[in-house]
Amino acid sequence: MVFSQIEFLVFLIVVLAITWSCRQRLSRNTFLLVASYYFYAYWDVRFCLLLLLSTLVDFVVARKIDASNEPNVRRRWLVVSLVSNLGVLAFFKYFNFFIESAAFVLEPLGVSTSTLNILLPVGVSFYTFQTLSYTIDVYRRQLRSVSSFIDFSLYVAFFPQLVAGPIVRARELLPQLASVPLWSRRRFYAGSQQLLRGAVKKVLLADRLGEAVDVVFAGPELYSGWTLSLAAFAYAGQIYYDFSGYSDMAIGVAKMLGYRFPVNFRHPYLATSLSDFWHRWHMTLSRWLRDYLYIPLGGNRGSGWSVYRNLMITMTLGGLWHGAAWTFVAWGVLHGIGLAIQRLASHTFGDRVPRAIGWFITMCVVLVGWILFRSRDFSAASVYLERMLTLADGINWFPPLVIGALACLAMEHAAWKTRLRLAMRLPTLAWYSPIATSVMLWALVLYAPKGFRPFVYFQF
Amino acid sequence: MPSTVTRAVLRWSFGVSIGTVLIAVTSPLFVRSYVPTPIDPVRTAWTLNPGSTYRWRSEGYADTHIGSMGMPGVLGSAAVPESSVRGFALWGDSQAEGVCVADEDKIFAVAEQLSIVDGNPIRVYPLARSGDDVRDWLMQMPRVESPLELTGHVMLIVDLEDLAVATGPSKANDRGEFEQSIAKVLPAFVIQAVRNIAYEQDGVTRRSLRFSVGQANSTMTSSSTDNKSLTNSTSTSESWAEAFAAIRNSTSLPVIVLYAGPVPGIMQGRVQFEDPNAAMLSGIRETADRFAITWIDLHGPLTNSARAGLWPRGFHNGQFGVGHLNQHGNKIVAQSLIDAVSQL
Repeated sequence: MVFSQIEFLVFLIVVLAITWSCRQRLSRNTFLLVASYYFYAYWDVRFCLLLLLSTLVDFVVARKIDASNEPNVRRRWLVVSLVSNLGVLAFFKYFNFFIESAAFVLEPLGVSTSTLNILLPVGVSFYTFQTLSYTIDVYRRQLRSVSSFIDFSLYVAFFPQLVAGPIVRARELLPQLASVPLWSRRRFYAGSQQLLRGAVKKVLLADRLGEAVDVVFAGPELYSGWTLSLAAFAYAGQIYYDFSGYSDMAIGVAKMLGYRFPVNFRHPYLATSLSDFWHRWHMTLSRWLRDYLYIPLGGNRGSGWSVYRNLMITMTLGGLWHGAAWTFVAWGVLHGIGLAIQRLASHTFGDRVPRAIGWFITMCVVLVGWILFRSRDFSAASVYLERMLTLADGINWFPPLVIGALACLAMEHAAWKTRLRLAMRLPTLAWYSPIATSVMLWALVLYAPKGFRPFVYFQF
Repeated sequence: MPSTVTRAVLRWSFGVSIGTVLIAVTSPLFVRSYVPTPIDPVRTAWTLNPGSTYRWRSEGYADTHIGSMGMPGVLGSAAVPESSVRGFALWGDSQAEGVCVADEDKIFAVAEQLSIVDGNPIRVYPLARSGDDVRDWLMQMPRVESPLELTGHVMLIVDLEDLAVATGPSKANDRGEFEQSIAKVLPAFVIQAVRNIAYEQDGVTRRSLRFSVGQANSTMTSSSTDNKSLTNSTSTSESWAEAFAAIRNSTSLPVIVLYAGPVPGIMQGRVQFEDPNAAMLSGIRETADRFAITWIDLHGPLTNSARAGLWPRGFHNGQFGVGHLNQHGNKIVAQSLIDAVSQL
């Protein structure tokens, strides 16, 4: 089930009604767990077993780790969790990628290879990271293992964040699941507004931008340099509105149910450096990579070169996490190199680079990165970049609604820096809130592009 | 003093009303119009309401004035020409109707202008309607010949299927009574909202909600816009002969078929210059010749235009290389029409 489907609206109304009528923690959490599994089974019932298995493994492993004071025993159980979680991810997400990559080397030597017809379980990258963070936190003694299997299962499968994040850590959500949240009309209203805002971002902006992006990226050799530039900006807008829209909807739904999720986006295109960008873009992934990969690798400690190595490893794996293709790896490498250069530059020049120049350079790197990220392969990406940068001739196509959506993106980012920031949340008592809500609802019904367009991050 | 709840209800009711008014006022910029479609007494077919203005907002952006007999783009009544000026009826579907371009860029208007420039003026009556096929045209052709004092008929065919079904029953006038009645009373944005909620994206299939658990396919979406070629059942020479015989039996006037097939087009990021129906086109032309029907294939001029960078199909607010003919495409069709009628 997808947040932007009508079915989800019906599902949500039923879930809200029943959840808030449950007075006991057990009944409430059990119902939410059943609802979450139904939400997942709506897409494919078979993968519920995989979700259950992943939950079971980490529940047991964390109990074992918590119960033991023997470092070797604790480490052994941690390895069980790492192998099983990363094994699931490696098989379902990367098996064919590894085989296809190996084929480049092996087939010229006469070794034949074959891929498997594997369907990627939606959300596997997200819930795998969540369960891993739980087990690692218990191993690090930053968190006690949870005794209720229902609570832990709900933490893993909680439907607002199950398929595309935000990546909520166990220590953020499990304590909230340990009691029945108090009803708050203000919080419910704020959640519903965030849900609506997310829907507008996804349906009216991201999907509209996506219509042009899909066409231009399918045949970059046909279009003029100006149209390619517009489509690159459009993709930057699409992926931001798609994913931040999803995050808003997830956070909003959780809020309506009485739970708090961490923020996932903070106007990333205002970033004045690449590290600033990663503090604003998919923030829950950034901090996951920082806490469970970058810092364990050594982080900022050690010699200069080891820090650069840590940065490169983290960003390359971060790129690979997004998708099983070399273009994603290259995207990660690009950001890794960018972060390394930024670090080197700040050590050499200090903070003397004007913010405007920092912003411009950052946006150039981000935009080139998005072209890599969206292109079907390297040759398409190079054609795209070459034609865009040389302002090649071709079809001049400037869809007015795409330009309008990009203007929205610019205005929204600019408004974030002003007092309009609060107004954009449509406070309960503000006179304009009912008007804006009504306009957004009408617009969703009237102006949604035709056709179903899944969230971009579902494929990750 | 009203209670907090009452104040909130009043505030929200007022706010929602203001929001709705804002949408109502601005919607004509974005939402197409829905006009009642009465039955024209001469054509005995439903037509857009004469005297009304029809808005089209997606894939092109234009207001079309509806003239007598529901002719799109004609201001007022279509005067029968002087005896020296020959009159032709233009039949077709939405491609020939041309509501996505301004009145002066519609095929009939451009053809009339070009004919004046050529010094051999003709009158073209735009009788095409969105969704029509040859069955609808055959039914109306005899009825309009005399009132409009026609010299001949011109059919614009984009999808060969529209021509191949000549022998089947007509689907004309099956517009729902309900749609007719609500178009009279409800504003367009409300009708559009109801349609968006109640129907699938094709605008015809009722939306059905699924609440059962499922099994995913390997792809989560399927939006193929591949070119289709005709099925075997409609591609035999016998069936074309039947189609052309039906046309010939319905009129004794000259008939010209302008074929503007789906190419040149852009499908899945690839330019397509080869018509998927190319293999059967020479056979169709021969069959048309046998029934004294002129067959003009516009593949050449349309492709030349695309190669020169002027795509005959597509709009900035749609997509180039697919969809309806734009002003460049209409001009090519109009020029071919003029060339063809000059041979009669």
